[in-house]
Amino acid sequence: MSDMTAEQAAWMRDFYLRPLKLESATTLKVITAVPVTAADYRPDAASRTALDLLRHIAATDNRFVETVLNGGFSTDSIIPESAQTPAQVGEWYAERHAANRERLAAVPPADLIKPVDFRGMFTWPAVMFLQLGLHHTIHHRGQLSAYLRAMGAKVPSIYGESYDAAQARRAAQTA
Amino acid sequence: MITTEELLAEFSHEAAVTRRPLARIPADRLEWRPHRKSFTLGELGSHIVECVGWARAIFGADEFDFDPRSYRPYRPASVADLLTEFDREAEAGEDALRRATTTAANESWRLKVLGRVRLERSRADALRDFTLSHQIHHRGQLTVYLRLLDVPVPGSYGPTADEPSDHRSEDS
Repeated sequence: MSDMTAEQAAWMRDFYLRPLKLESATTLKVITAVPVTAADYRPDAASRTALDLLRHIAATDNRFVETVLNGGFSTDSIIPESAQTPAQVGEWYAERHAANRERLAAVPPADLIKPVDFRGMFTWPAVMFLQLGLHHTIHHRGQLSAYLRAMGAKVPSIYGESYDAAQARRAAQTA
Repeated sequence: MITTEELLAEFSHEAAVTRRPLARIPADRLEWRPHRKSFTLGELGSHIVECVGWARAIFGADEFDFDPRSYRPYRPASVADLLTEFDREAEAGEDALRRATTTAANESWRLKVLGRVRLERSRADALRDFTLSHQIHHRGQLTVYLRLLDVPVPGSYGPTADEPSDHRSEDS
């Protein structure tokens, strides 16, 4: 990856803009599907609570895009402490992610290949953090969707019609 | 444009990460599910194998015509059987990606249902949506299943409560 050209990086950035927008809309649906009354749910004592998990998703999905925008990976907290309900987190997440995607589209190609260190573990061209962020978000969003089912909440459609969405569709058809 | 080498590296890496939680499924729990509306563990594992198998379908032909009337989802007889099928699909996907040109990766691929085109996008985009993202999503679900069964959860993108020494971590 170290010999990536600016032109290749720009192509890769453009390639990821589509799934970033698409997946972000789905992520918002899953975050806001968590009932406020179940925000403390966790499947095991060793697990994050639903609120902790959805805050992690919202923060890191933005953080990885901002790694490209800023040319560096930061662990500084970015999500406001005041966002303590799924709706509040969702609102913050969606607004910030949309703005980040807009800025991302305008990053000069030369900046996309700047080497970025990840906590001393590895160094990648900045643009590669889009892939890592996308995968990281989808992984934790999958976990959150399993929380939703286990806590008895409704699961929105993610990569196909969910059980609950299918039931709602059938109910609407017969109404 | 994205190259087949980049796609192959990503596909192989994610398949290797996915195999770890699959291998932790308890042999006697394939029928377990966390909720009556959920996949059983066996169904979830089977679906993950299908996600990986899309790579072969996407890079092996210009289109895939799905016939829901004849579709019979794979159901593993055992965890060993599941892993064998997963490895077979992962290797088939890697072979298809190795044989493909970068030009082909950026050309259109079509998903049909009973002969009717339902979706058309580049193979690279289709691989991302059908194989990579879809697989990662269900792998995330699988880790929660393991947690609910008190099975040690392997790291995917960072340490877990059971394996805190993984090489990556992120804070919120």
